[in-house]
Amino acid sequence: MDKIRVLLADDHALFREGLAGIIENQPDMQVVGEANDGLEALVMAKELKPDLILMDVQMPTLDGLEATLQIKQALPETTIVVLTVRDDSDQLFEAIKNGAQGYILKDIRSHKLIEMLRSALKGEAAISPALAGRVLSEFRRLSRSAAPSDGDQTLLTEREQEVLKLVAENASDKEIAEALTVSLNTVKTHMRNILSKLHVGTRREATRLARSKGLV
Amino acid sequence: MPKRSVLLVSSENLFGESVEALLRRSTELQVFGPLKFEDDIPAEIARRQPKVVVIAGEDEFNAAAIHLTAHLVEHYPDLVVIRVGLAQKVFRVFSMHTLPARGSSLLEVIQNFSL
Repeated sequence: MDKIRVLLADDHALFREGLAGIIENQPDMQVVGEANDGLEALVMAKELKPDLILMDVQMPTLDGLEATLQIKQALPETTIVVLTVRDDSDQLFEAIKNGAQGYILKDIRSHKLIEMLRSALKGEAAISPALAGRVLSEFRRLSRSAAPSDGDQTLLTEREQEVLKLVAENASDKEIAEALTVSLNTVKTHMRNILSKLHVGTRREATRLARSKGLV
Repeated sequence: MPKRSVLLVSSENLFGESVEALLRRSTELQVFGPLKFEDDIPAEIARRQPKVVVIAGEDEFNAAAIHLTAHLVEHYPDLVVIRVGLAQKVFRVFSMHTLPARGSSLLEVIQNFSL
């Protein structure tokens, strides 16, 4: 059986050499190359065509995120997993956007890392459990902001639009009730409906969305 | 030839295991650990009698790593302490030497110390 060919890209030579030892201890894996920066990783990837690349983020010359993007453009079949010390949401989303199949923090145990690498090679997401929740939150946030479309305005009743306009002017429920001469409970019902229809959780989000969509 | 014993202490799982894998490759070393900072390191030193302690962590200047280095250098004069961090691309070697408090010794050390 062919071994899984792994390329390591990390500018910390001591860590990289030790990691190579861990991977070489796997009966079905072999380290075919070690790159000291993103540019070297790009050149070596094109030359060696590894199955899997373990990519650090902060490296000289070309960082791991840019290297991931360029390698995926040249070798879309190669699985890239980012391995980093930084617990950073922006970096995580950037890595995924650039084509990384995983984002793993370096505080992971080696047996767990190997398990996640095997999952990544099968096409599964290899994301540190502590970060996986953030991916779901981001997905939900994007879904919410994408959900309302051209029909936003008609989605809300005329009265709800009036309420939303007052909310955008920072009016309290009581002030809205007085302005529209309705009961406080009616305002609260309108608010619940607005949040539900716009797929947002708070008045502030509703206001922001309403402004961005030109509803108020 | 007897193997040189090394005790590994690490706060980072993967980094610690990587350094361990590297050390275990050498047939001339007997490796113990990795231990965590919160483990009873003095007891382990008393039991294993290592010649070298390697401290590996995310940040070499982490307070726990600095404190442990100071403690080891102060209390175990014959021990060599090596500290390495993921955030730094170097490692540092610490050791203590006790010499008679004579002017000639002091000048000799200053002259001969490799800088």
